[in-house]
Amino acid sequence: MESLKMEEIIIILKNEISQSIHLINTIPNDFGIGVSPQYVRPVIEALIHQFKIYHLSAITGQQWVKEPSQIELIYHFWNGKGLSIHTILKRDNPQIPSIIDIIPGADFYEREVSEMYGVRFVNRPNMPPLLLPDDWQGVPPMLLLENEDEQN
Amino acid sequence: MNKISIPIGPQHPLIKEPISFNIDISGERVLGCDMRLGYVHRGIERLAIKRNYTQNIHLIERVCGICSHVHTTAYCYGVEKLLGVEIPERAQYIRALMCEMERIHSHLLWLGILAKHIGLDTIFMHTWHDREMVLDSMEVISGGRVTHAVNKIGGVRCDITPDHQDMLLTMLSELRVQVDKLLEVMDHDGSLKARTKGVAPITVEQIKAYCVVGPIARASGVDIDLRRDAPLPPYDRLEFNVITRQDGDAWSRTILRVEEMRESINLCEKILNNLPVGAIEIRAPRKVPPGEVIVRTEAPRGELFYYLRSNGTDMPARLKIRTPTLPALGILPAQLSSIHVADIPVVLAGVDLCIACADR
Repeated sequence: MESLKMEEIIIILKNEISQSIHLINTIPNDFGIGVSPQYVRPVIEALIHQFKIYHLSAITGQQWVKEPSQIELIYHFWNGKGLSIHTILKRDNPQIPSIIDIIPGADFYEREVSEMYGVRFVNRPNMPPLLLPDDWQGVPPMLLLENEDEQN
Repeated sequence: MNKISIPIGPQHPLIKEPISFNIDISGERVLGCDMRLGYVHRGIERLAIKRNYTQNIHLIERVCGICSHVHTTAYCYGVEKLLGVEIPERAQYIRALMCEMERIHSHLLWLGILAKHIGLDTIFMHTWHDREMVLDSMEVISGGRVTHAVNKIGGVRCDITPDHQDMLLTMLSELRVQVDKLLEVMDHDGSLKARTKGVAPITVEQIKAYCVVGPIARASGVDIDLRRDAPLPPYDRLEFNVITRQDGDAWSRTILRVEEMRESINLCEKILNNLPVGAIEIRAPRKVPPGEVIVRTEAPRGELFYYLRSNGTDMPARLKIRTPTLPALGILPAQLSSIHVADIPVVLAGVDLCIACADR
Protein backbone atom coordinates (compact mmCIF):
# COMPACT_ATOMS: atom_id res chain seq x y z
CA MET A 1 0.00 0.00 0.00
CA GLU A 2 1.77 3.14 -1.23
CA SER A 3 1.38 6.54 0.38
CA LEU A 4 -0.32 7.86 -2.77
CA LYS A 5 -2.92 5.16 -2.43
CA MET A 6 -3.64 6.27 1.13
CA GLU A 7 -4.52 9.72 -0.19
CA GLU A 8 -6.76 8.10 -2.76
CA ILE A 9 -8.49 6.10 -0.07
CA ILE A 10 -9.52 9.22 1.81
CA ILE A 11 -10.85 10.89 -1.39
CA ILE A 12 -12.94 7.81 -2.18
CA LEU A 13 -14.23 7.61 1.40
CA LYS A 14 -15.14 11.31 1.33
CA ASN A 15 -17.04 10.98 -1.92
CA GLU A 16 -18.80 7.75 -1.04
CA ILE A 17 -19.52 8.12 2.67
CA SER A 18 -19.27 11.65 4.01
CA GLN A 19 -17.43 14.88 3.30
CA SER A 20 -16.78 15.23 7.04
CA ILE A 21 -14.13 12.47 6.89
CA HIS A 22 -10.73 14.08 7.30
CA LEU A 23 -7.05 13.33 7.53
CA ILE A 24 -5.29 13.10 10.92
CA ASN A 25 -1.52 12.96 10.95
CA THR A 26 -0.62 13.08 14.63
CA ILE A 27 0.98 9.60 14.65
CA PRO A 28 4.16 9.24 12.58
CA ASN A 29 4.12 6.44 9.97
CA ASP A 30 0.43 5.95 10.55
CA PHE A 31 -2.29 7.22 8.26
CA GLY A 32 -5.08 8.66 10.39
CA ILE A 33 -8.68 9.14 9.32
CA GLY A 34 -11.00 11.26 11.48
CA VAL A 35 -14.58 9.97 11.35
CA SER A 36 -17.82 10.72 13.23
CA PRO A 37 -19.06 7.69 15.21
CA GLN A 38 -21.95 6.97 12.83
CA TYR A 39 -19.55 6.61 9.88
CA VAL A 40 -17.04 4.25 11.56
CA ARG A 41 -18.90 1.15 10.40
CA PRO A 42 -19.32 2.20 6.76
CA VAL A 43 -15.66 3.26 6.63
CA ILE A 44 -14.48 -0.09 8.02
CA GLU A 45 -16.74 -1.96 5.58
CA ALA A 46 -15.19 0.04 2.74
CA LEU A 47 -11.66 -0.67 4.01
CA ILE A 48 -12.33 -4.40 4.03
CA HIS A 49 -14.31 -4.80 0.82
CA GLN A 50 -12.84 -2.10 -1.40
CA PHE A 51 -9.26 -1.80 -0.18
CA LYS A 52 -8.66 -5.27 1.30
CA ILE A 53 -7.44 -3.83 4.60
CA TYR A 54 -8.75 -6.37 7.06
CA HIS A 55 -6.23 -6.68 9.87
CA LEU A 56 -7.45 -4.83 12.98
CA SER A 57 -4.56 -4.72 15.46
CA ALA A 58 -6.39 -3.10 18.35
CA ILE A 59 -9.02 -0.64 19.49
CA THR A 60 -7.57 1.98 21.80
CA GLY A 61 -9.81 4.03 24.05
CA GLN A 62 -8.44 7.14 25.63
CA GLN A 63 -9.37 10.37 27.35
CA TRP A 64 -7.56 13.65 26.99
CA VAL A 65 -7.26 15.87 30.08
CA LYS A 66 -8.03 18.97 28.03
CA GLU A 67 -11.29 17.39 26.83
CA PRO A 68 -12.55 15.30 29.78
CA SER A 69 -16.09 15.21 28.39
CA GLN A 70 -14.96 13.12 25.44
CA ILE A 71 -13.66 9.61 24.86
CA GLU A 72 -11.54 8.99 21.79
CA LEU A 73 -11.57 5.58 20.10
CA ILE A 74 -8.83 4.60 17.67
CA TYR A 75 -9.23 1.55 15.43
CA HIS A 76 -5.70 0.54 14.44
CA PHE A 77 -5.52 -1.29 11.12
CA TRP A 78 -2.44 -2.62 9.41
CA ASN A 79 -1.74 -3.75 5.89
CA GLY A 80 1.97 -3.26 5.36
CA LYS A 81 1.48 0.22 6.79
CA GLY A 82 -0.52 1.51 9.70
CA LEU A 83 -3.95 3.05 9.22
CA SER A 84 -6.02 4.35 12.11
CA ILE A 85 -9.61 5.47 12.34
CA HIS A 86 -10.14 8.10 15.02
CA THR A 87 -13.54 8.91 16.42
CA ILE A 88 -14.80 10.97 19.34
CA LEU A 89 -17.61 9.88 21.67
CA LYS A 90 -19.39 11.82 24.42
CA ARG A 91 -18.39 10.67 27.91
CA ASP A 92 -21.89 10.99 29.34
CA ASN A 93 -23.39 8.72 26.65
CA PRO A 94 -20.63 6.90 24.82
CA GLN A 95 -22.09 4.60 22.21
CA ILE A 96 -21.04 3.38 18.79
CA PRO A 97 -22.21 0.62 16.42
CA SER A 98 -20.42 -2.68 16.93
CA ILE A 99 -18.29 -4.13 14.12
CA ILE A 100 -18.05 -7.76 15.26
CA ASP A 101 -20.28 -8.96 12.44
CA ILE A 102 -17.78 -7.62 9.90
CA ILE A 103 -14.62 -8.34 11.94
CA PRO A 104 -15.30 -11.19 14.42
CA GLY A 105 -11.82 -10.65 15.86
CA ALA A 106 -12.95 -7.27 17.23
CA ASP A 107 -15.05 -9.01 19.90
CA PHE A 108 -12.43 -8.94 22.67
CA TYR A 109 -11.28 -5.45 21.71
CA GLU A 110 -14.83 -4.09 21.99
CA ARG A 111 -15.47 -5.88 25.28
CA GLU A 112 -12.27 -4.45 26.75
CA VAL A 113 -13.06 -0.88 25.68
CA SER A 114 -16.59 -1.31 26.97
CA GLU A 115 -15.37 -2.38 30.41
CA MET A 116 -12.53 0.06 30.73
CA TYR A 117 -14.30 3.17 29.39
CA GLY A 118 -18.00 2.37 29.69
CA VAL A 119 -18.50 2.59 25.92
CA ARG A 120 -21.70 0.89 24.74
CA PHE A 121 -21.33 -1.02 21.48
CA VAL A 122 -24.82 -1.26 19.99
CA ASN A 123 -26.17 -4.06 17.83
CA ARG A 124 -24.11 -6.85 19.29
CA PRO A 125 -25.60 -9.90 21.00
CA ASN A 126 -24.02 -9.96 24.43
CA MET A 127 -21.31 -8.27 26.39
CA PRO A 128 -20.17 -10.64 29.17
CA PRO A 129 -17.37 -9.42 31.43
CA LEU A 130 -13.91 -9.95 29.99
CA LEU A 131 -11.29 -8.72 32.43
CA LEU A 132 -13.14 -7.21 35.41
CA PRO A 133 -14.83 -9.31 38.13
CA ASP A 134 -18.46 -10.31 37.59
CA ASP A 135 -19.57 -8.15 40.52
CA TRP A 136 -17.61 -5.03 39.56
CA GLN A 137 -19.60 -2.00 40.78
CA GLY A 138 -17.28 0.95 40.35
CA VAL A 139 -16.78 3.37 37.49
CA PRO A 140 -15.01 2.03 34.41
CA PRO A 141 -11.41 1.89 35.66
CA MET A 142 -9.62 3.63 32.81
CA LEU A 143 -11.80 6.76 32.94
CA LEU A 144 -10.02 9.75 34.42
CA LEU A 145 -11.56 10.64 37.75
CA GLU A 146 -12.79 14.13 38.54
CA ASN A 147 -9.91 16.52 39.20
CA GLU A 148 -7.50 13.85 38.10
CA ASP A 149 -4.57 15.20 36.25
CA GLU A 150 -2.54 13.04 33.88
CA GLN A 151 0.52 14.07 35.84
CA ASN A 152 -0.43 12.70 39.26
CA MET B 1 -27.63 -36.78 22.19
CA ASN B 2 -27.77 -34.48 25.21
CA LYS B 3 -25.54 -31.48 25.49
CA ILE B 4 -23.17 -31.51 28.46
CA SER B 5 -21.14 -28.50 29.62
CA ILE B 6 -17.75 -29.19 31.14
CA PRO B 7 -16.10 -26.38 33.09
CA ILE B 8 -12.30 -26.48 32.81
CA GLY B 9 -10.27 -24.12 34.98
CA PRO B 10 -9.71 -21.42 36.06
CA GLN B 11 -7.05 -23.20 38.14
CA HIS B 12 -4.36 -24.17 35.65
CA PRO B 13 -6.27 -25.80 32.81
CA LEU B 14 -3.53 -27.37 30.72
CA ILE B 15 -1.09 -24.53 31.33
CA LYS B 16 0.11 -23.04 34.58
CA GLU B 17 -1.95 -19.92 34.12
CA PRO B 18 -5.52 -19.18 35.10
CA ILE B 19 -8.25 -19.14 32.48
CA SER B 20 -11.67 -20.68 32.55
CA PHE B 21 -13.25 -22.62 29.68
CA ASN B 22 -16.78 -23.90 29.51
CA ILE B 23 -16.81 -26.55 26.83
CA ASP B 24 -20.10 -27.93 25.48
CA ILE B 25 -19.95 -31.50 24.28
CA SER B 26 -22.32 -34.04 22.86
CA GLY B 27 -20.97 -37.56 23.09
CA GLU B 28 -17.39 -37.41 21.83
CA ARG B 29 -17.91 -34.22 19.84
CA VAL B 30 -17.24 -30.69 21.01
CA LEU B 31 -20.07 -28.30 20.15
CA GLY B 32 -18.51 -25.03 21.21
CA CYS B 33 -16.87 -23.18 24.07
CA ASP B 34 -17.07 -20.08 26.22
CA MET B 35 -14.14 -18.63 28.06
CA ARG B 36 -13.50 -16.20 30.87
CA LEU B 37 -10.33 -14.15 31.18
CA GLY B 38 -9.30 -11.64 33.79
CA TYR B 39 -7.96 -13.83 36.59
CA VAL B 40 -4.53 -12.18 36.24
CA HIS B 41 -5.71 -8.73 35.21
CA ARG B 42 -3.38 -6.32 36.95
CA GLY B 43 -4.49 -3.05 35.36
CA ILE B 44 -1.07 -2.41 33.88
CA GLU B 45 -2.37 0.18 31.40
CA ARG B 46 -3.85 2.17 34.29
CA LEU B 47 -0.74 1.77 36.46
CA ALA B 48 1.48 2.93 33.60
CA ILE B 49 0.02 6.45 33.55
CA LYS B 50 0.92 6.83 37.24
CA ARG B 51 4.61 5.99 36.80
CA ASN B 52 7.45 7.68 35.01
CA TYR B 53 8.98 6.33 31.82
CA THR B 54 11.84 4.54 33.60
CA GLN B 55 9.62 2.94 36.25
CA ASN B 56 7.33 1.75 33.47
CA ILE B 57 10.10 -0.41 31.98
CA HIS B 58 10.01 -2.55 35.10
CA LEU B 59 6.22 -2.60 35.14
CA ILE B 60 5.93 -3.58 31.49
CA GLU B 61 8.55 -6.28 31.79
CA ARG B 62 6.05 -8.02 34.06
CA VAL B 63 3.23 -8.12 31.52
CA CYS B 64 4.50 -11.54 30.46
CA GLY B 65 6.66 -14.14 32.13
CA ILE B 66 7.90 -15.64 28.88
CA CYS B 67 8.36 -12.82 26.39
CA SER B 68 9.23 -10.11 28.92
CA HIS B 69 12.09 -8.67 26.86
CA VAL B 70 10.12 -8.01 23.69
CA HIS B 71 7.61 -5.94 25.68
CA THR B 72 10.26 -3.59 27.02
CA THR B 73 11.91 -3.49 23.59
CA ALA B 74 8.69 -2.28 21.96
CA TYR B 75 8.10 0.21 24.77
CA CYS B 76 11.65 1.60 24.73
CA TYR B 77 11.64 2.01 20.94
CA GLY B 78 8.36 3.91 21.32
CA VAL B 79 9.74 6.26 23.97
CA GLU B 80 12.95 6.77 21.99
CA LYS B 81 10.91 7.61 18.90
CA LEU B 82 9.00 10.25 20.87
CA LEU B 83 12.30 11.60 22.20
CA GLY B 84 13.72 11.63 18.69
CA VAL B 85 16.85 9.74 19.70
CA GLU B 86 18.47 6.75 18.07
CA ILE B 87 20.28 4.26 20.23
CA PRO B 88 23.77 2.98 19.35
CA GLU B 89 23.96 0.15 16.84
CA ARG B 90 25.50 -2.21 19.36
CA ALA B 91 22.53 -1.72 21.67
CA GLN B 92 20.11 -2.46 18.82
CA TYR B 93 21.93 -5.73 18.11
CA ILE B 94 21.93 -6.74 21.78
CA ARG B 95 18.18 -6.07 21.96
CA ALA B 96 17.60 -8.22 18.88
CA LEU B 97 19.84 -10.98 20.25
CA MET B 98 17.80 -11.17 23.45
CA CYS B 99 14.55 -11.11 21.43
CA GLU B 100 15.69 -14.08 19.34
CA MET B 101 16.86 -16.05 22.38
CA GLU B 102 13.49 -15.34 23.93
CA ARG B 103 11.75 -16.65 20.81
CA ILE B 104 13.79 -19.86 21.01
CA HIS B 105 13.00 -20.51 24.67
CA SER B 106 9.34 -19.55 24.23
CA HIS B 107 8.93 -22.03 21.37
CA LEU B 108 10.79 -24.72 23.34
CA LEU B 109 8.55 -24.17 26.35
CA TRP B 110 5.48 -24.39 24.17
CA LEU B 111 6.65 -27.54 22.40
CA GLY B 112 7.27 -29.19 25.77
CA ILE B 113 3.73 -28.40 26.91
CA LEU B 114 2.24 -29.76 23.68
CA ALA B 115 4.34 -32.93 23.88
CA LYS B 116 3.40 -33.48 27.52
CA HIS B 117 -0.31 -33.26 26.78
CA ILE B 118 -0.02 -35.60 23.82
CA GLY B 119 1.73 -38.07 26.11
CA LEU B 120 5.25 -37.74 24.70
CA ASP B 121 7.02 -37.05 27.96
CA THR B 122 10.46 -37.71 26.47
CA ILE B 123 10.13 -34.76 24.08
CA PHE B 124 8.83 -32.66 26.96
CA MET B 125 11.91 -33.41 29.07
CA HIS B 126 14.35 -32.83 26.21
CA THR B 127 12.81 -29.52 25.15
CA TRP B 128 12.70 -28.18 28.69
CA HIS B 129 16.30 -29.25 29.23
CA ASP B 130 17.29 -27.38 26.07
CA ARG B 131 15.26 -24.38 27.18
CA GLU B 132 17.31 -24.23 30.38
CA MET B 133 20.46 -23.82 28.27
CA VAL B 134 18.99 -20.68 26.72
CA LEU B 135 17.69 -19.36 30.04
CA ASP B 136 21.05 -19.95 31.73
CA SER B 137 22.81 -17.99 28.96
CA MET B 138 20.34 -15.14 29.33
CA GLU B 139 20.96 -15.20 33.07
CA VAL B 140 24.72 -14.97 32.54
CA ILE B 141 24.24 -11.90 30.32
CA SER B 142 21.62 -10.06 32.31
CA GLY B 143 21.45 -11.58 35.78
CA GLY B 144 17.82 -12.65 35.37
CA ARG B 145 16.29 -15.82 34.03
CA VAL B 146 12.80 -14.52 33.34
CA THR B 147 12.84 -10.76 33.80
CA HIS B 148 16.12 -9.72 32.25
CA ALA B 149 15.88 -5.92 32.65
CA VAL B 150 18.25 -5.53 29.69
CA ASN B 151 16.50 -2.53 28.16
CA LYS B 152 16.68 1.03 29.30
CA ILE B 153 15.57 4.17 27.55
CA GLY B 154 18.52 5.10 25.35
CA GLY B 155 20.07 1.65 25.01
CA VAL B 156 20.74 -1.48 27.01
CA ARG B 157 22.08 -2.14 30.48
CA CYS B 158 24.20 -5.22 29.78
CA ASP B 159 27.02 -5.56 27.32
CA ILE B 160 28.07 -8.75 25.54
CA THR B 161 31.69 -9.42 26.45
CA PRO B 162 34.00 -11.66 24.33
CA ASP B 163 33.51 -14.37 26.98
CA HIS B 164 29.73 -14.08 26.57
CA GLN B 165 30.13 -14.30 22.83
CA ASP B 166 32.11 -17.57 23.06
CA MET B 167 29.70 -19.01 25.59
CA LEU B 168 26.67 -18.12 23.46
CA LEU B 169 28.15 -19.47 20.24
CA THR B 170 28.96 -22.79 21.96
CA MET B 171 25.47 -22.95 23.45
CA LEU B 172 23.87 -22.17 20.07
CA SER B 173 25.80 -24.87 18.24
CA GLU B 174 24.76 -27.40 20.92
CA LEU B 175 21.20 -26.20 20.63
CA ARG B 176 21.23 -26.51 16.85
CA VAL B 177 22.17 -30.19 17.18
CA GLN B 178 19.33 -30.69 19.66
CA VAL B 179 16.76 -28.90 17.49
CA ASP B 180 17.82 -30.85 14.40
CA LYS B 181 17.49 -34.05 16.37
CA LEU B 182 14.08 -32.92 17.56
CA LEU B 183 12.94 -32.27 13.99
CA GLU B 184 14.14 -35.71 12.96
CA VAL B 185 12.32 -37.38 15.83
CA MET B 186 9.13 -35.44 15.10
CA ASP B 187 9.32 -36.33 11.45
CA HIS B 188 9.59 -40.02 12.22
CA ASP B 189 7.27 -40.19 15.21
CA GLY B 190 3.99 -41.66 14.13
CA SER B 191 2.13 -40.86 17.34
CA LEU B 192 2.86 -37.11 17.19
CA LYS B 193 1.67 -36.96 13.61
CA ALA B 194 -1.37 -39.07 14.41
CA ARG B 195 -2.38 -36.66 17.18
CA THR B 196 -1.78 -33.43 15.25
CA LYS B 197 -2.15 -33.96 11.50
CA GLY B 198 -5.42 -32.60 10.19
CA VAL B 199 -6.54 -31.56 13.69
CA ALA B 200 -8.40 -28.23 13.98
CA PRO B 201 -7.26 -26.63 10.72
CA ILE B 202 -7.57 -22.85 10.45
CA THR B 203 -8.33 -21.39 7.03
CA VAL B 204 -6.87 -18.17 5.63
CA GLU B 205 -10.35 -16.62 5.76
CA GLN B 206 -10.56 -17.39 9.50
CA ILE B 207 -7.10 -15.91 10.07
CA LYS B 208 -8.22 -12.70 8.35
CA ALA B 209 -11.60 -12.53 10.08
CA TYR B 210 -10.17 -13.06 13.57
CA CYS B 211 -7.09 -10.87 12.95
CA VAL B 212 -4.83 -13.74 14.07
CA VAL B 213 -1.10 -13.11 13.90
CA GLY B 214 2.26 -14.81 14.27
CA PRO B 215 3.06 -18.52 13.93
CA ILE B 216 -0.63 -19.50 13.78
CA ALA B 217 -1.19 -17.22 10.78
CA ARG B 218 2.04 -18.38 9.12
CA ALA B 219 1.06 -22.03 9.62
CA SER B 220 -2.06 -21.31 7.55
CA GLY B 221 -0.07 -19.78 4.72
CA VAL B 222 -0.40 -16.09 5.63
CA ASP B 223 3.07 -14.75 4.96
CA ILE B 224 3.41 -12.10 7.65
CA ASP B 225 6.35 -11.44 9.95
CA LEU B 226 6.80 -7.96 11.36
CA ARG B 227 10.56 -8.44 11.69
CA ARG B 228 10.56 -8.30 7.89
CA ASP B 229 7.41 -6.28 7.15
CA ALA B 230 7.75 -3.47 9.73
CA PRO B 231 11.28 -3.94 11.03
CA LEU B 232 12.58 -2.25 14.11
CA PRO B 233 16.35 -1.79 13.87
CA PRO B 234 18.49 -3.88 13.41
CA TYR B 235 16.14 -6.35 11.66
CA ASP B 236 16.24 -4.16 8.55
CA ARG B 237 19.93 -5.09 8.27
CA LEU B 238 19.60 -8.80 9.07
CA GLU B 239 18.68 -11.48 6.60
CA PHE B 240 16.45 -14.36 7.61
CA ASN B 241 13.77 -16.59 6.17
CA VAL B 242 10.14 -16.31 7.15
CA ILE B 243 8.80 -19.83 7.53
CA THR B 244 5.29 -20.53 6.29
CA ARG B 245 3.20 -23.67 5.98
CA GLN B 246 -0.01 -24.19 4.05
CA ASP B 247 -2.15 -26.72 5.92
CA GLY B 248 -3.03 -24.68 9.01
CA ASP B 249 -3.50 -27.77 11.20
CA ALA B 250 -1.92 -28.55 14.57
CA TRP B 251 0.95 -30.38 12.86
CA SER B 252 1.80 -27.32 10.70
CA ARG B 253 1.78 -25.10 13.76
CA THR B 254 4.09 -27.53 15.54
CA ILE B 255 6.66 -28.05 12.83
CA LEU B 256 6.62 -24.35 11.89
CA ARG B 257 7.66 -23.30 15.36
CA VAL B 258 10.51 -25.81 15.43
CA GLU B 259 11.75 -24.53 12.07
CA GLU B 260 11.45 -20.98 13.36
CA MET B 261 13.73 -21.93 16.24
CA ARG B 262 16.34 -23.03 13.74
CA GLU B 263 16.02 -19.72 11.94
CA SER B 264 16.36 -17.84 15.25
CA ILE B 265 19.53 -19.80 16.08
CA ASN B 266 20.97 -18.67 12.72
CA LEU B 267 19.92 -15.10 13.47
CA CYS B 268 21.59 -15.17 16.90
CA GLU B 269 24.81 -16.41 15.34
CA LYS B 270 24.65 -13.69 12.67
CA ILE B 271 24.14 -11.06 15.35
CA LEU B 272 27.00 -12.39 17.50
CA ASN B 273 29.38 -12.58 14.54
CA ASN B 274 28.52 -9.07 13.36
CA LEU B 275 28.15 -7.32 16.69
CA PRO B 276 29.11 -3.66 16.09
CA VAL B 277 31.62 -2.10 18.46
CA GLY B 278 30.89 1.03 20.42
CA ALA B 279 28.69 2.37 23.18
CA ILE B 280 25.63 0.48 24.42
CA GLU B 281 23.61 3.44 25.59
CA ILE B 282 23.10 7.15 25.23
CA ARG B 283 21.78 9.56 27.81
CA ALA B 284 18.09 10.17 27.32
CA PRO B 285 16.10 13.05 28.86
CA ARG B 286 13.57 12.25 31.59
CA LYS B 287 10.78 14.33 30.09
CA VAL B 288 9.31 13.26 26.79
CA PRO B 289 7.93 15.83 24.32
CA PRO B 290 4.20 15.61 23.52
CA GLY B 291 3.32 13.17 20.80
CA GLU B 292 1.85 9.82 19.85
CA VAL B 293 3.58 6.74 18.54
CA ILE B 294 2.66 3.21 17.49
CA VAL B 295 5.17 0.36 17.70
CA ARG B 296 4.53 -3.05 16.18
CA THR B 297 7.00 -5.83 16.64
CA GLU B 298 7.14 -9.59 16.26
CA ALA B 299 6.93 -11.26 19.66
CA PRO B 300 7.31 -15.07 19.84
CA ARG B 301 3.53 -15.37 19.46
CA GLY B 302 3.10 -12.73 16.74
CA GLU B 303 2.35 -9.06 16.36
CA LEU B 304 2.84 -7.10 19.57
CA PHE B 305 1.17 -3.70 19.43
CA TYR B 306 2.02 -0.66 21.55
CA TYR B 307 0.35 2.74 21.40
CA LEU B 308 2.01 5.43 23.49
CA ARG B 309 0.94 9.03 24.01
CA SER B 310 3.03 11.58 25.82
CA ASN B 311 1.85 14.93 27.19
CA GLY B 312 5.26 16.50 27.72
CA THR B 313 5.84 15.29 31.28
CA ASP B 314 7.91 12.40 32.62
CA MET B 315 4.86 10.10 32.70
CA PRO B 316 2.94 8.71 29.72
CA ALA B 317 -0.62 9.96 29.19
CA ARG B 318 -1.75 6.67 27.64
CA LEU B 319 -0.15 3.32 27.05
CA LYS B 320 -2.12 0.72 25.14
CA ILE B 321 -0.81 -2.82 24.85
CA ARG B 322 -2.34 -5.46 22.57
CA THR B 323 -0.64 -8.79 22.90
CA PRO B 324 -0.76 -11.53 20.23
CA THR B 325 -2.55 -14.00 22.52
CA LEU B 326 -5.77 -11.95 22.51
CA PRO B 327 -6.69 -12.60 18.83
CA ALA B 328 -5.46 -16.19 19.23
CA LEU B 329 -7.97 -16.65 22.05
CA GLY B 330 -10.69 -15.15 19.87
CA ILE B 331 -10.39 -17.92 17.31
CA LEU B 332 -10.44 -20.74 19.91
CA PRO B 333 -14.24 -21.27 19.91
CA ALA B 334 -14.14 -21.66 16.12
CA GLN B 335 -11.24 -24.09 16.39
CA LEU B 336 -12.83 -26.15 19.15
CA SER B 337 -16.18 -26.64 17.48
CA SER B 338 -16.73 -30.08 15.97
CA ILE B 339 -13.44 -31.64 17.12
CA HIS B 340 -13.12 -34.76 19.29
CA VAL B 341 -12.99 -34.33 23.07
CA ALA B 342 -9.57 -36.04 23.10
CA ASP B 343 -8.20 -33.33 20.79
CA ILE B 344 -9.03 -30.46 23.16
CA PRO B 345 -5.54 -30.41 24.79
CA VAL B 346 -3.86 -30.50 21.36
CA VAL B 347 -5.88 -27.50 20.19
CA LEU B 348 -5.46 -25.52 23.41
CA ALA B 349 -1.73 -26.21 23.54
CA GLY B 350 -1.33 -25.57 19.81
CA VAL B 351 -2.44 -21.97 20.21
CA ASP B 352 0.49 -21.21 22.56
CA LEU B 353 -1.58 -19.28 25.05
CA CYS B 354 -0.07 -16.70 27.36
CA ILE B 355 -2.86 -15.65 29.66
CA ALA B 356 -0.85 -13.08 31.61
CA CYS B 357 -0.20 -11.32 28.29
CA ALA B 358 -3.87 -11.37 27.32
CA ASP B 359 -5.07 -10.10 30.72
CA ARG B 360 -2.36 -7.52 31.38
